[in-house]
Amino acid sequence: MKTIFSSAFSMVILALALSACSGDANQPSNTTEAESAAANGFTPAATVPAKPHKTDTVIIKAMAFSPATITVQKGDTIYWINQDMVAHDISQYPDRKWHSALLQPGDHYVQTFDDSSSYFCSIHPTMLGKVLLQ
Amino acid sequence: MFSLQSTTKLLATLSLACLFLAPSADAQTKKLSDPEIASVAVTANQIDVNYGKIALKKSKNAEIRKFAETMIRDHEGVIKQAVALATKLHVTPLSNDMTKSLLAGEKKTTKMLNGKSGKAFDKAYAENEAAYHDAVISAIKTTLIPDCQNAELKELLNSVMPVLAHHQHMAHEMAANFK
Ligand SMILES: [Cu+2]
Repeated sequence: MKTIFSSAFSMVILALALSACSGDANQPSNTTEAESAAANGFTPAATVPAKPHKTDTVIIKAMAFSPATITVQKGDTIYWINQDMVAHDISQYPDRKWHSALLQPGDHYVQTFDDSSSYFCSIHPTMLGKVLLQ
Repeated sequence: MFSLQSTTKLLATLSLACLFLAPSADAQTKKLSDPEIASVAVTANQIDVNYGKIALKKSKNAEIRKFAETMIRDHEGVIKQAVALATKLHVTPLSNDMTKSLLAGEKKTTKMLNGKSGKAFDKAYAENEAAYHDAVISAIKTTLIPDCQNAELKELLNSVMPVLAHHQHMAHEMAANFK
């Protein structure tokens, strides 16, 4: 009991510390996986990897991806969150070689990239985005 | 240069637009209350869901069917959010002149759509979607948003605009394909 309590307590401290340095969680930002997890309400990892891959956030709002073009390092993860009025998806452009499920408002999608890729929303095909490798 | 056909089409578009843009003199001087705005918002979305359902029943055209599916999904999504917000704000949608004219327009258009089939239906559906989104966007811009009192309801109306603008753009492109 004591162990559970103290580890839960240290996680809260870690979450507070990490969210404090991740800045405004509503803005697209470059954060480590642990920071992003803390900002998004997930249990943060106890230890941060020595050479962490980053998680970048793309917000879906007002029928657009923001930022529309995002530059990442090989192996980085992108976290899309749908903050729009309606459902969207994330689909490889133009063939849907990879795609998310239907994302209802509030839903998110996570994918790791080893290559550049263009993507779009297959429901609203004027919504275009790009992942570029640095 | 004005063929009879294009003049008729123009008149049809204008009269449809007038249903929303020129409500009765009484309604023009009287601002809509928030419960009335909620009623107009839900009704306007429901009407386009209904048109989409007619299209899925009647059309075999892949582009029309995909568009209709998007209209049903998006407008049902907007209704869900509008109803959730109205419930949270304890705003009970209140029927009014604008709701009534929307429903009268729906009745007329449904009859017109049901009277057509094949390519003629697809063309009529696409043209109606373009005109309907034009009219609803104008009504929200010129009446609903300016009249709206509650900040959260106003924000919801503002958030719907990009969705409607996207539909409007797609509908006009689709209608142009049937020229
Ligand atoms: Cu979309």
